[in-house]
Amino acid sequence: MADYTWTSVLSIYVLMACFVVATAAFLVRAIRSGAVADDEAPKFRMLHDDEPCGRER
Amino acid sequence: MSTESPGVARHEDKSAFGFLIVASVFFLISGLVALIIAAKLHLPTLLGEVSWLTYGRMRPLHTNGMLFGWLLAADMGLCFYLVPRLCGVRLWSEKLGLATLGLWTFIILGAVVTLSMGINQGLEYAELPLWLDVLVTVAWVLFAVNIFATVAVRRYQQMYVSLWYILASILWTAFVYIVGNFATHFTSGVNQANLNWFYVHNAVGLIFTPLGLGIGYYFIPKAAETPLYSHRLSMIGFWSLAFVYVWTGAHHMLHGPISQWLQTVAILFSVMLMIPVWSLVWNFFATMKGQWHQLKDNVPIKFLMTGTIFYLLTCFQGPMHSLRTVNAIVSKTDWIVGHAHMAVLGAFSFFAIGGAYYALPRMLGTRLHSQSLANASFWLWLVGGLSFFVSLWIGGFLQGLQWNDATIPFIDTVKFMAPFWGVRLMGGLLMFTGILLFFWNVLITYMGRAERPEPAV
Repeated sequence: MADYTWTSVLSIYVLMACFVVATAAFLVRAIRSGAVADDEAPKFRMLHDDEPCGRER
Repeated sequence: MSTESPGVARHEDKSAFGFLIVASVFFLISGLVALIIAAKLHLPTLLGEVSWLTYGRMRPLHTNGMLFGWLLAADMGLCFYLVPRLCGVRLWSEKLGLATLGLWTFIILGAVVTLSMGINQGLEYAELPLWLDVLVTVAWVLFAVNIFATVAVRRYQQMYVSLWYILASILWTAFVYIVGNFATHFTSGVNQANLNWFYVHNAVGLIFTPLGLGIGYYFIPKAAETPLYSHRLSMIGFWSLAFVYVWTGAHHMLHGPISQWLQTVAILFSVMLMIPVWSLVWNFFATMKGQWHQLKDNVPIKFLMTGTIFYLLTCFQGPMHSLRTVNAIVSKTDWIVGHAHMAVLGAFSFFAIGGAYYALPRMLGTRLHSQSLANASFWLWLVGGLSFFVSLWIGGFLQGLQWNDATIPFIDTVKFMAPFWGVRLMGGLLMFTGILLFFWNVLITYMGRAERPEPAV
């Protein structure tokens, strides 16, 4: 069977690899900024988010 | 739309409400079209030979209507509801949200006209003409700007998991949609099919899945009034989904003319999907520990937890029929149709309806018109959905076995499916009745909102 892979690899699998690299970059950045620190606070805070949302902007 | 006190900002929810109403209207229309094409499987001459009422024209109308007219619009509306609340600020721009709604409505109406006229690019889920694809991209950018700008001015540094899913899905949708609707024009043959299946699978996996899960993560704790079991586990699920899902599309081309190693990669990552799926299901079920009694009276919870079970079933099926041996039987059969419908209508539509039943009365500052109607719509959806999905699994599996027997004429395998399609039609009829009740309940809730003020907390 003929191998039709090469253009698929160029067109999509390289893009997918870029996608995963970008995801990894986001993850590293999120860890460094503390956005994914081991903190369960958001799950309690969201239960009370129907309160007025601060001052008018 | 809520009342405002002097000096205190409240969520307006105009965009959220508008998207949910438009989505409900297209839900009704797409459901009616679905019923007609399901009936046409038994009565091909139904509605005569009027070209725009033929199966070939109505089928893409149904799929695009359900995916983009109903589910994505409903998900966008629910995002406009929950993102400002999770950020502790108002939506960045209600005007921009309403402009996005206007453009989105125009796009769906444009899709109805063009698809009915037979203007169709001939690729699954990517049937819309190029000019509508461009408008979809513009609308998505407007939506993204509004959501990202809202998150940028949030009051809390650490984001709840729903925000992670929604922000990621906005980026993933752009990536998936552009590949599926624009990049395919630069390929042909098997390579185009490979790109198209990347798009089709990830339209569900990287658009509707993260949006649906973000909605589930928000509305299950809110509706049950209990904290999520583990935020850390939810983040494990999110990041594992981010790394795994993108590779799985090629499992639709197993035993096809793409390289074996590409097929193996797709199979491997499909099986790895068990990690994000089980982490989410465990989290939702553990959240409900001690709260299961709420299933009796709490309609949003009924929809959300049933959606979770459908999600589990869908995501158990997916990895299993990506295995070569199983795929050799079920591929291209009605099994896959049952599987796809359970994902979109079973899992993610249940999440969206549960979220809508929770959010709509709160947006309007009122109570739902009728809990009984909402309850009836749930049972109609559950019974209709189960009979729809299960009949197609059984029929599709047997159909696949017949296709593997070269002595059976193909037309006999078509005739064999007639009773299963009959059950599917009856299930669809029940689900459509459920949509009618949902729509009626929403409409009367809106019209009678002044008569049923929300009780003071």
